[in-house]
Amino acid sequence: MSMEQDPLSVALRDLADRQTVPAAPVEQVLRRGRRAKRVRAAGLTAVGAAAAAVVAGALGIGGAAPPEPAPGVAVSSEAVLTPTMRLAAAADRTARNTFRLKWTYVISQRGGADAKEIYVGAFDPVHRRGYLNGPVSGMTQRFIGDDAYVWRGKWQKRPGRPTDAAVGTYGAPGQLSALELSTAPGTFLKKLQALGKVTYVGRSGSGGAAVERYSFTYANRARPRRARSRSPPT
Amino acid sequence: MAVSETTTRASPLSDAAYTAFVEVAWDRHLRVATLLTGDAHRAEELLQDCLVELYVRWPRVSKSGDPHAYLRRMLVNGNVSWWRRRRRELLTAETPDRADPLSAPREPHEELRRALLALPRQQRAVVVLRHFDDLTEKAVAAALGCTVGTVGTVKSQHFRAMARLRELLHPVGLDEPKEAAL
Repeated sequence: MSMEQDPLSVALRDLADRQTVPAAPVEQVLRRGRRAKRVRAAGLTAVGAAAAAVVAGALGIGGAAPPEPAPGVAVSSEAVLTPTMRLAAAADRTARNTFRLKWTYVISQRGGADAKEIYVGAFDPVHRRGYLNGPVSGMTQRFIGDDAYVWRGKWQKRPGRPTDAAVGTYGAPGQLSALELSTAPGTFLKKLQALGKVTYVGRSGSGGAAVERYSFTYANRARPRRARSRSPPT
Repeated sequence: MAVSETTTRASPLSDAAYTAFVEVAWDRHLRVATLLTGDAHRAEELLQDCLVELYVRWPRVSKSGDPHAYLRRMLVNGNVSWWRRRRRELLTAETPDRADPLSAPREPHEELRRALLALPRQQRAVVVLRHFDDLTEKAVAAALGCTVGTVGTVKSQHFRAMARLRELLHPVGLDEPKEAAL
C-alpha cells in the first residue's frame, strides 16, 4: 500500500485540511528578508554615504613605568599631565608593550537608528602580531608582520594594501589602519590624538601587570558621494 | 585606506522568482509546519522565519537545486531550535508540547494531533514527512540533516514512532497503518 492510501496518511491529510491557510504574507517576508540581508551585509562591509561614525575606543596599555611626558614637552612642576601628554608618552612605550583594545563604532545615519559595531583585540608590537575580533561573532582578523588576514570560512589574505585593513568597517580612508596596531602602534595612537578627544581613564593593576587605560572619541565623517539609485526603503 | 562597499539592492528577477516560490511554498509547507509544531500560529511564525532566512540565501539556494527541500530542512531544524529557545522563557500560559493521552478527547482528529505531539520532535518529523509529505526515506534523511540523516536512522525513528502511535491511538482505523511502505 502506498503512502497515499495508508490510513495514517489519509488521517494526517484530513487533519491538515482542517486548517485554514491564510494568504502567503509575501510583502512581509520580502520586507523582513531585505532587512535581514542589509543587516548581514552591513556586518561585513561599509555601507552608504552621509554616515557619521563616532568612534569610541578603550585602550589598555601595559607597562610598569608611570607615564612620562614625551621628549620635548615642557611640564612645569605645577602642571598636570594632560591625557594627550600621557597618551603621547604611552605611544612611545606601546611599541615595546603588548596591549588590548576595545573599539566601539556608533554609526549615526540620517533617517535611521544608530548602529553599533564592537571590536575587541590584542596586539604585540614587539613580535608584530595581533588580532581583532568583531563586529559579529565569528568575524576575526589576524595581523602577522605586514600582512592582514580575515576569516571567511577559511583564512584569506586581505586584498589591497596591508594598511587598508581598517579598524571597523566605517574607518575613514587614510586615517586609521588596524595593521598599524601591531606594526606601528605609536603612529596609530598619535593619529588618534589628532583626530579627537583623549581621556586618561586611570591605571589598574600593579607592578608588571599594571595597565593604563585611555578612552578616545572622534567623529568620522564619510566623504559625500554621488547619490545612486537604491531599493525603496522598507 | 579603501572602504569597501557592497550593493545590497535586490535584483528584480531574483525577487520575482523568490515571490513565486513563496506563494507556492506557503500553501505547501504551512500544513507540514502545523503538523510539526502542533499549533497553527507557531507554524506561521516558524514558516515565515524560515522564508526570511531563505531570502538571504536565495541566490545560492535557487541555483543549487531544490529550494523546497532546503526549506523543509529549515522547518524541521527550526522547530527543534525554536523550542530550545522558548524553553528558556517563562511561559505560564504556554500549552505543553506533550499530550496527556488519558485526558485526550475522543474526537479522532484531535486524538491524532495529540498523539503526534506526544512523539519526540524528530520522530514526529519522520512521520509527517513520510506519511503526509510522502517523501522517500532518503529525502526524509536529507530533511533531518547530516548528523542523523542516514536512511537507517530514519527507519528506526519511523519504527519507534509508529509503535508509539499505536499505543496512543484508539483503534479507529488509525492504529494499524497496514502495509505502510518503509
